[in-house]
Amino acid sequence: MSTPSLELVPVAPTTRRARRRRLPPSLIAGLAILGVIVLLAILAPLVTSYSPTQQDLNDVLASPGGRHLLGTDELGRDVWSRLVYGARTDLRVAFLAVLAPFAIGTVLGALAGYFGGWLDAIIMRVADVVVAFPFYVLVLLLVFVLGPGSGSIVIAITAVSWVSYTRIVRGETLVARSQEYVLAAKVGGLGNLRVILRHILPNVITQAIVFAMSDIVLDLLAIVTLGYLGLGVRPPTPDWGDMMASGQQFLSTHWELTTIPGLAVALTGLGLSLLGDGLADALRPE
Amino acid sequence: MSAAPAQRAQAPLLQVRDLTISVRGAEGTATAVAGVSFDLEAGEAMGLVGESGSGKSLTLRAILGLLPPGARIVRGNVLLDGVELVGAGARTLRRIRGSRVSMVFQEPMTALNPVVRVGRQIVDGAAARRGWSRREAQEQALRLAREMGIADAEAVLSLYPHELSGGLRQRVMIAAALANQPRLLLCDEPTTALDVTIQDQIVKLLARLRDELSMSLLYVTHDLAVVAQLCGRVQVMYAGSILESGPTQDVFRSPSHPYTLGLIEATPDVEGDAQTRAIPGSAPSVFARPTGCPFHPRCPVATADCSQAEVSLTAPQGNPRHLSACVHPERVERPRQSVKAS
Amino acid sequence: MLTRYIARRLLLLVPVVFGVTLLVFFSIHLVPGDPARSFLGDRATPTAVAALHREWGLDRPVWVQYWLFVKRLLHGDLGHSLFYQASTVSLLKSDLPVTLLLLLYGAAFAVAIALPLALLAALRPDGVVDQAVRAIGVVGLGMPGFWVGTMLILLLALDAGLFPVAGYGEGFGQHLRSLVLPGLTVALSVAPILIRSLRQGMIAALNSDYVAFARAKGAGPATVLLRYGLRNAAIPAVSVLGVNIGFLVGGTLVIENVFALPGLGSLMVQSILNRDFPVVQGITLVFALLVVLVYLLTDVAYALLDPRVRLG
Repeated sequence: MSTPSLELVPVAPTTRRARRRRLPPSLIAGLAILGVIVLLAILAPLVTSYSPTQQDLNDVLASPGGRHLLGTDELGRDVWSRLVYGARTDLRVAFLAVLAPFAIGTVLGALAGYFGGWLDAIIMRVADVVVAFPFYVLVLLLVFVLGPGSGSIVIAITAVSWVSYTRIVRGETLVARSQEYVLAAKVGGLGNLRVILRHILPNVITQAIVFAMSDIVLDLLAIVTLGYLGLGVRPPTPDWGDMMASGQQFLSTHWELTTIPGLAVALTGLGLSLLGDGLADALRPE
Repeated sequence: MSAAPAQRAQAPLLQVRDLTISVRGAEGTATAVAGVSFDLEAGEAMGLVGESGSGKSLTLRAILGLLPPGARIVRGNVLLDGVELVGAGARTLRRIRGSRVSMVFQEPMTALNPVVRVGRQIVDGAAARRGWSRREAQEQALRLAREMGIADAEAVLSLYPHELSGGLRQRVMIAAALANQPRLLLCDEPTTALDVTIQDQIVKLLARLRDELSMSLLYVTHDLAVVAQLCGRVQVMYAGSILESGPTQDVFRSPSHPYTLGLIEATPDVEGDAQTRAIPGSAPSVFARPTGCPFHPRCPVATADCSQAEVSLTAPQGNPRHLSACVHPERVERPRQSVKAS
Repeated sequence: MLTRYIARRLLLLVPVVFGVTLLVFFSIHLVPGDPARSFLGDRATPTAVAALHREWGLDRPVWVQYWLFVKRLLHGDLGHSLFYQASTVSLLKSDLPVTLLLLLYGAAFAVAIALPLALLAALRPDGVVDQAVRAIGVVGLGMPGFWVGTMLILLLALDAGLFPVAGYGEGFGQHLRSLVLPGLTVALSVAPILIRSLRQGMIAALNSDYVAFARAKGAGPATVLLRYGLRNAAIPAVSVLGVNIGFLVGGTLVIENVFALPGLGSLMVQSILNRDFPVVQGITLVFALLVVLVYLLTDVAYALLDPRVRLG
């Protein structure tokens, strides 16, 4: 007499080995561009010869070339140093500004999608209200209320951006929670928390990650814009937006003071966008 | 069931020779239609039957030059009234579309523009070509709708597609296809999405048009009963090749190919023993076409040489108009049920 | 029925408006310290503070405070600017037209740029034009709006002298001229999103069965493109534009500062620097209500364009 074989439990897709696929070119290009920028930012003290805050009033508005690679600004500060250290500041704040909404939004979305009911209703209504405000308007209001500084910027952006993550994750959770492997896990006696953590989250998180890649570009732009408006990172910490604001008064004579930081932002944004597109292609479900 | 007598003296209205179409998919390029050839006379109705994926819809679309993205005509000729359509320029194709040959699609809900009123959709293909004024176009739309048996035509024409029933939508589509009085109407499973009573009405409508307007029909379907009712000749297609062709009655009464036999026996027969015998297995994907005779993996009477033989048409029963591509047509039994015209 | 549809939409917006006022109301309480003092700033004399305490009911439960806030709102009372000698409402009234005009310019330019590009790209997917358009889109996404504006000033105002460098000018003609560059800048920030959705819609429409049928029955290329392609693609695109209106409005806010336009955006930034809370609060409220209104208009436009929505 042969023993009856155990029925196979349906396995969640993430536990299967990820299929090896050719990496999309946009992913590689994005990584390359971003890699260079991040590397420069990390190695800032090594690649710059001047401190970004050191003023030299004898050598203001120098043209590029000579002792200063990209010239100096109106206070004699080395533009190249400010550029590289500015990358440090802006990238760091942007990273935080995307991480927090990602974490909070994902959790809220998973809870809303999984439990439904009044929890879902409340979260969604609050989301609707937040979305009714234009992004910059609400961020500015919060920055005003919380006072200047990078901490307030991160909080302000988080308070506005969590909504997209919540909506995405909630949608995916709604789909996932009725899948067989979730039902199987529940039947097997797994508590709700474990179900969410082990079975639902790994599957819904890919879409959130993909979105985070495009969101970080927006956050970088927001930080730089706030810096431009004078509401960003506190001077004298170098910031690309602040550089462009002070450079604008010299637009007719030294247009490079505004153009160069702008190009830096555009290039970083391009790298992030390509990386995001590439990641989206690579992670797309077959 | 009648067909206009074949006119030997004139050249056929439509001549398809060695039509070969390739499609591009995630798995690469493959042949979806492999060397299809047939003729269609003026005023004749011909059926093109086969399972999904047999390439019959692609064949229709190729005639009009409306292949979906990724599909290409690799080789072959399509002659309409002597005019070559393969490789013809856009202007030539536009000239023949609607006025010489037109097409009716399977699902009118997707083939009609959801945001335009149906009256306008009936005539906008023809109005510009014929130089109709606004009022003339409206009158033509009314006339066409009434001829299609649409009651209360004036009211119906001002509605949007989603406000009509399936049968009405199909009538609207046929009216639109006929607005420019084509000589050949290509039908891509026009009744598959409709329920049986409506289906019957539409088929009768098409039969009437065939007779009154001497219009040729090329009717693609997987429903043999409709073919028996409407078409004088039939082509049986499988995995991109024509496996059998001939007068409908001959083919259905004494098929010369196991696939045809399988199709006949798979047709639900209400009067008979009510047991349908589906053909085991499923049609091969375009990218996995079997060698030799494409049907051999599913064929109940296949032999070893069936997987090597080339697909070529012969006349196994001595009738030059009844052709089969079977390697061993003598092994095909007579069908245990007959196909009744519905 | 169209009216029923609008009524239903309005009803759904009520809780949102309610939530907006709630959020705006609460924001003053996020500032550390006495809200009345923050609100009065330099004019915070003990009598003034006490008067506000009474008027706002700061010692009463929160929901009473909120109710008083709403009552004042409905009477058009948003307080007095701490910096300018004027009521908040009067400041808003004088600056709102500039912002609205800029929004209109921006939207019009955006459509004018996006439509032809999307059409050309969709006609030959993966062709030269399509790839170029998509590449520009990706590159453009990373460019800060204000930087694009500054570059436009550099190229078209300073070097070429075609448009004023900044400011609003006197008289309607000068107003129109000075809004061109800002409007273009706003449009350029929104155009990539619009192009992408229009292009997708067009490609989907052109590959659809109803376009195939239109061609099969002999419709000419213009008819096919316009009546069967564009009309269907425009519907989701209008929706996309409406949803992104938040970004459009945010864009005008920043761009006004770049070009020194006397609109609500400049006023807001200035007021933040001035710690002028009543004005900041008032502008936030106006912007939020503006966005909600645009959502409603978008829904109505959608219903007008798509008969399935309004009749189904």
